[in-house]
Amino acid sequence: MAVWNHEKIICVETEKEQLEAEFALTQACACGDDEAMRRLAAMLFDRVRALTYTVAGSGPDSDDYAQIALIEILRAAGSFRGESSLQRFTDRITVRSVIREIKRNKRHRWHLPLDVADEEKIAFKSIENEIHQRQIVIKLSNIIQNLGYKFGVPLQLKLALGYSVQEIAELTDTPYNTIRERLRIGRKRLHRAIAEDPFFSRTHAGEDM
Amino acid sequence: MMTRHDCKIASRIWEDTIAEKRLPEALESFVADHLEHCTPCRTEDEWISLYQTKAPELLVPPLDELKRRRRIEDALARAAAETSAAVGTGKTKSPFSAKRVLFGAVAAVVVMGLVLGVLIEDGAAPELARNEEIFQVTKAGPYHGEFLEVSGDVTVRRVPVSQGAALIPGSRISVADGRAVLGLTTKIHLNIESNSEIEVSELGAKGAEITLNFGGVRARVDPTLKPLSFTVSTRAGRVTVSGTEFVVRDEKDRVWVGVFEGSVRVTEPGRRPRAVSAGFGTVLDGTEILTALDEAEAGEVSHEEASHEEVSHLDAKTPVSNRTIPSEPPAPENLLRRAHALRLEGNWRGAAKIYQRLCREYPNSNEAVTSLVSLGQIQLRNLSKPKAALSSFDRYLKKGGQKDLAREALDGKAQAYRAMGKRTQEISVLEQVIAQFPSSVQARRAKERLQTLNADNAL
Repeated sequence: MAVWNHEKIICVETEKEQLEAEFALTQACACGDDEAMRRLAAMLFDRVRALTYTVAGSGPDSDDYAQIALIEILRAAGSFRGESSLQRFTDRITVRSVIREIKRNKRHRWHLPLDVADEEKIAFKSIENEIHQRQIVIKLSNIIQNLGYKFGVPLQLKLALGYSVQEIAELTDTPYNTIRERLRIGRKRLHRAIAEDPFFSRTHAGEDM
Repeated sequence: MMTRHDCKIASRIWEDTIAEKRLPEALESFVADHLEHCTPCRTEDEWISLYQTKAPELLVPPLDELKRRRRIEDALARAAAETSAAVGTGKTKSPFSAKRVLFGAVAAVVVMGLVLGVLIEDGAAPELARNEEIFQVTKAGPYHGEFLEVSGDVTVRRVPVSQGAALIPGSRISVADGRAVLGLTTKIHLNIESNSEIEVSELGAKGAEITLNFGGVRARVDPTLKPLSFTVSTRAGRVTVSGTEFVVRDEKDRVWVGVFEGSVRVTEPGRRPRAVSAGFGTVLDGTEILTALDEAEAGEVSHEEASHEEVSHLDAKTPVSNRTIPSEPPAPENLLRRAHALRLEGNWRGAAKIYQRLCREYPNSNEAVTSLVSLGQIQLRNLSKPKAALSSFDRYLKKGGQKDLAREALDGKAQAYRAMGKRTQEISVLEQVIAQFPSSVQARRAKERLQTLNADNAL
């Protein structure tokens, strides 16, 4: 059985050891070990932020949502049982927390990270593949967010975070078949939006590339 | 040239696959074949694959190390503060025990020191000065802040807070409908009015600074604060104080300050600092000048452009007309203010008496109705009179008081029943809290309490 020791960095080789180390860390957090809490927060911060931005968009409130989610994780650390990975456990808390905040915040803005003109400038004047990839991802995220909470969130959870229909249904407190239907319609609308979007049309045509 | 990608063959299949519908093998091979020949469909498929693998990584804007660390520290401090507040009131089930939280709070201070030590060892000396600002709030000493009183809808970055929660620099506090009293160090009491938002910009060895985003605050500062400073920044200027009682209010068309005791220095952009002393008020727009707070005598203004050194002369000036600042508030408001002051001093019995007098003499005033909740809380928590508290909460609910205080009243009612050992009534009130205010902090506590009660019943 792994015991949390803040003198050492968790070093594990097998999946079982990993789970035990994570369990020990969360138990230490639950016991009020500050160093363990600090380590857990530092370890999860980037992941929590990434998930938050994926689900909530890059609006002005996303960092606040991420912080709320992190606080919830710290408070819920004691309920981690080590049956699934810690990341899975914390991802679920994060997604639930962010969805709740989006629902609560009536002024939530999904935000468009860049306008099309800027995108085109960067996308077509640069030949660096990485920048182009980033543009595509941001643009797709924009399109998905523009589908709204109903269709956008399940689509983000499915495409960006790889959740199953069943898991999305649980996370969003929505019936399984409703999520299936929303995913189907969302994917259809995504296809239509891609087809109509000038950014992608130009990329298809290969202009200036 | 714009082109339009109209091919719908693959799209229909994607709609099925995303909904986790199983496809026959023949259809899968047909799609693979189609993607090979249809460029638009293939490109879209590649984009979606790219999105699936890179979205979480590429969508997040970069955050510099200092901000990252600050956010983590902030989360840790707030998690600890919320837990200790919950444990302190004994109402919330928590994964942390009270003993552990106390241990955690002490450990936090030690860990902060360790982190600073590590930073020095890592050669992070240039950043040290800035990092010190982040960590100093958790050092032992008088430089801390906390919520002394919370009622109604009070949040820090949209997270509801409760009495006793700790404050750290950078906290943005919103009071929608209710009130909050903050203790900034041991010498500054700040009363935030309804529909206000402030940000605690600084809280440390040099004093405290808050930014008033909108609404109003009333501050009472201990004269022995010197040489520390306390500043309220607004969109129209800064109000710096040392040993006084004053109010700053950001209204739609103006920002004004009124001084009840001592004096403050007002700094507006592009103008020399000027002083405002007790009994006077001024608008921070560069044109309005001092007006008397309490005497409506006609006269001309006399202190425009007065320097900070002229403070001593200001008291001797004759008060002038009261065009902009309201005169002495009516009696119910005065009584409420006295009760708040006594409450802040911890004189519970005195505060309760004033609240009762307010209810007796002005039974239909808003102040009297609102004070019933405060009275009930004092009777319940500080005077151990649950029956009287129950009566106060009931009276508030019967008078149909403000909606946001209704949840406080119901919550208080449940606690009063709990103190009286009346389980059935307590359960009934807890259920009311959950039904009427499902997303409130009180509802969360009520659910936890109900679970405990149900577990006890099962035993």
